[in-house]
Amino acid sequence: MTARGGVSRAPADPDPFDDFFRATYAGSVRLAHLLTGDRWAAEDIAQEAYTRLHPRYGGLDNPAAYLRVSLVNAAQSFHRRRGREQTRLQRVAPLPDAVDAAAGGDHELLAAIDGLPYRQKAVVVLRYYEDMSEADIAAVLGCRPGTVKSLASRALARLEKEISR
Amino acid sequence: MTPATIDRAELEDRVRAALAQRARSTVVDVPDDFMPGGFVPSGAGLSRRNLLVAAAALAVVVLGIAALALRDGDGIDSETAEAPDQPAPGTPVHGPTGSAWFVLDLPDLSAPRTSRESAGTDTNHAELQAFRTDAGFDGPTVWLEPGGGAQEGEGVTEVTVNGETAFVDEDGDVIRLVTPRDEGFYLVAAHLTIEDVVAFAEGLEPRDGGGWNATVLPRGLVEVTEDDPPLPPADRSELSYTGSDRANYELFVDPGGQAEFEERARETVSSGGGVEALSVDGRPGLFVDPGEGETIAVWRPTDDAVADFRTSLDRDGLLAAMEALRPVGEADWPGSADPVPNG
Repeated sequence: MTARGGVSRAPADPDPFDDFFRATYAGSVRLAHLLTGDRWAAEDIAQEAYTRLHPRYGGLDNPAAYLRVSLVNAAQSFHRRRGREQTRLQRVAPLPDAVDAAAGGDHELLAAIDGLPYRQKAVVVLRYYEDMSEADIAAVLGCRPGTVKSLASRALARLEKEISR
Repeated sequence: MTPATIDRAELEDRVRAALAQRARSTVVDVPDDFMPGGFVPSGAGLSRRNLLVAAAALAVVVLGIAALALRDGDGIDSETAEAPDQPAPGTPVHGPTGSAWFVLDLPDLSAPRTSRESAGTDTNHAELQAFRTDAGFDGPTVWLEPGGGAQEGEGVTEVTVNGETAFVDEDGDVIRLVTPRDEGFYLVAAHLTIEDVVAFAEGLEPRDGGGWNATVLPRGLVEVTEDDPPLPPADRSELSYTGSDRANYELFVDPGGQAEFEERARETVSSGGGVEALSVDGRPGLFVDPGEGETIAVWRPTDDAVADFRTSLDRDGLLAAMEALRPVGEADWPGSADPVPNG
């Protein structure tokens, strides 16, 4: 059909990245929330990861894997920044995560997970939420599977200790 | 009253459930389309939280201007007053001692990806103890930190430490030993035998104020003192290059003293593989080859910085590339633009 004035407009080509984005965005925010313990930082981290992924998307064999590594790395940077902020705010009592409070989650355990050193927390999240193998986690974290095993073992020991108090 | 013990499988199920619950509770509004212009990397833009921080900072600025106005009213000439000693807001921040940053001068490298940010405060290494001999990393080394857990899988064997079960595994020059008790320890050693490590572990006695006194010190190990003075705020930096042969080079420089260096060394060595002493411009360091396509060098370029350099090359390739590392100052570092300000 020709539009008034004789100018026809073909529909815009769908961007495959848009489909990927819509299919994965919510999961990315949730993963970032688990890695940071901070709902709003999670949104920022996910957005940053997609912004970095977008120009590379067409040349990647496995954009989902690239995205996951970006999220894990961005969450680690957030941890470093937050460590500095917490030093400044150490006299202020921590507030429970609003999402957990609203949902009646396992506050004690989630607080203990939030308190883990970052690499231990990342292993816990990737292993028990993402159901990833040690080899796959090692690839994401850039370490050996033996290190993943060690980090997981130490994380569980620490969680056990924290929630047994 | 003794706290109830938690079965490991039960704990794992509880972790799964807690994480799944948090994830289900995270309500996300998915935009219809990806709009790159609508997303700004968090380091460059304002998040919701940063907006609150910015509002607070604005209030501080307003109060500061009001205070200056009051000082002017008291007869202080703002035009002729001497410059304050403290840097003004917005003054570029500096990396660890300025010249501790490096660039890689090799032909056929792609432009580096850079990252520069304020260093976080990580106190995880505060309880880390290190033991070495005069031979440095070519000799026996032990790192010890509190904790406990189970090791499982291939190559892990059970040993007895003071009558209790512990788990040990050996990977190249590296031995890892962990006790199952929470109040136990996690030990990473290099250039020692399992018998040495077990003897060392059996001689550990709890020390007042935390940590352990080692009463059995194989081959003359002595504890490395970590007498770090307080360090001023500084940036961490990250450079990543790709060579024309697709080799990867990653260089990280973090502010930190002996304790940070020991933590980095322990984490690197805990991957297993070969461990050698390294000297970079006369500064102490170590080389680690985990044997999985990556080689790593960790060293202290200055007293207040720790660097690690990772490549996809073999040992000789990494050492050759290290010859091409050039220390640079603030102005010449490629990540100098758009720094994240120190707070």
